[in-house]
Amino acid sequence: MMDNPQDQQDDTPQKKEAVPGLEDVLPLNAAMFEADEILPVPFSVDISEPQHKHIGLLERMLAQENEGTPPPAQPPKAEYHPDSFQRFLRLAIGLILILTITANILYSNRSPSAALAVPSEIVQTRTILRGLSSESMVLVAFDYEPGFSAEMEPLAAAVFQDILTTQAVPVILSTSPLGTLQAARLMQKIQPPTARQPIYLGYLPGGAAGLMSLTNSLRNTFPLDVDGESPWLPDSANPKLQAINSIADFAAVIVLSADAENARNWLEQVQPALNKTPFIFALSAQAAPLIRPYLSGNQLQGMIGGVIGAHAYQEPKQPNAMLQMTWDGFAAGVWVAVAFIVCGSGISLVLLSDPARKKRRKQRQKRRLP
Amino acid sequence: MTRWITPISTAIATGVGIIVLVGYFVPAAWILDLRALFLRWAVILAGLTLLVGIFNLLAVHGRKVYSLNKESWSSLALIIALVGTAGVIAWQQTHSAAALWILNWILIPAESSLMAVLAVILIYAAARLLYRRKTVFSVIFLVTVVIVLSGSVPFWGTFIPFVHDRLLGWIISVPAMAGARGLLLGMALGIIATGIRLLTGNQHPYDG
Repeated sequence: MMDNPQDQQDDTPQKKEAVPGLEDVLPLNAAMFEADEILPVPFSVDISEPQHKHIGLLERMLAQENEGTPPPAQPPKAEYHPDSFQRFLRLAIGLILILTITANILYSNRSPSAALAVPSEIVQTRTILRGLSSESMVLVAFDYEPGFSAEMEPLAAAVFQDILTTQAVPVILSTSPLGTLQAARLMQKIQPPTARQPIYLGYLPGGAAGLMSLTNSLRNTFPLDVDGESPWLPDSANPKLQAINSIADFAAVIVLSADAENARNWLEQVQPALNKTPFIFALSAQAAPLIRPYLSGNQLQGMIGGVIGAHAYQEPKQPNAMLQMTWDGFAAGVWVAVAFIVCGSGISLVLLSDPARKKRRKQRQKRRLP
Repeated sequence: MTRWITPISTAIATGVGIIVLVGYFVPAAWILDLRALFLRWAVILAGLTLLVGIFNLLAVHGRKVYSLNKESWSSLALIIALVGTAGVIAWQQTHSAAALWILNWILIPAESSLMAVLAVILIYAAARLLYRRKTVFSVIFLVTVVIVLSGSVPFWGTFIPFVHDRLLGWIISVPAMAGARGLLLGMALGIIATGIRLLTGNQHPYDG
């Protein structure tokens, strides 16, 4: 059964013909077009001399097309390649930095360098940490990734030196999966055998929600420590933790962070619940400027920013060994960076003032545009 | 079926969001308990998403290894490293000597190398900034960078007097502080706007 009446007409004789209804006028037979060769048609044309020349020219052109044309002559390759020069420049900067920093670390006399102007927030931090006692429990958050260890460890060591000297017990947690491991690494480096063992609560997932949960219910958020035991039981390794019911019961809360976003989460979620508990930040140089407004708003009681802050924090009489080892190399690296920036900017200004070079550069930029 | 999921998930998200928000302003015991419960669930879910992410990573790279193309070797290395690390942590403790060895000799060198490369690239970019973009703001930016860097560390054991004492302190406490405050206010406004959109159901990223 045909659904479409149009289909019924498909097999009609009219459809087989080129012009329906006019049978045999234009028969559409494919066999008619199958010819092995084109038969010569007998006719003669009178060709003039110029036409002969044109025909010859056309034949030569067609023949050359079949042969293929040789590629156009390439201009000789320029000896100057901007990309390779830039690669060389990057390599040179890297090598000079490595050599300068290594030489300064290896051959530094470790003598106490010039005293930095100590900002008030660092003086406050020092006062709070040195006022701790052996009865104090201090919550410390290790919130930095392994890539920031070189910057954050001298900072953390400066803070921990005071905590360990006062015999206060550090209670360590982290919002980064590797934070507890970073803390263990630092303890292995700086902890004297007589110092109190820290309590490792472990990893706190959930970002801001995790910190809010910590503020609401410390014990429910961390029912177990990293060893899988409850640190809140009376027969646990540190019975003093029995006195801690909320985050405000700690003697101080210290956050070691390399990320401004993470530090802001701590300020927004934890700080309002702290009451009079001192809140201290030890931040990387990149995070410190963004958190500084909270310091002037009295939401923070102390702050140390970057290696420079750690250097200002240490007492000249009691230098931080980890910091002393790297300080000279760090200072030399900074001065090499300054030299490169000043020289690079000066050379750029000289090059840009040359009109011919400016023109070439513009042409190059135009060529690069799609 | 899917047309029912959107209103249900929006209602759940809005309800939970309102309860957590009200908990900040109304200190009623039942609201605080409910808020604490929701937050504990959020923490557990966040931990689970980490695990889901790891399994997804394993599955994606497992498929790449199975397809035997030129990326298979790096995927195989990733799977071996992941399984090896997980095995070490599971067998020993989280802060055991083996875990510390992985941190000290693999993670820290690898990540620190990337940071070192970043430092070189930043110096290179700053040195070429005027060549690429000769504007007033580029000049201000470079002058600030040079002042802050040279004022922060001593040169042959001595700080540059005026730069270290006055100029650096002024830059940190006035223009940098103003910029940071502006950024923080902008972020706060953005977060409030996003929060209102989520609570009113105008934005629902949880649809999937």
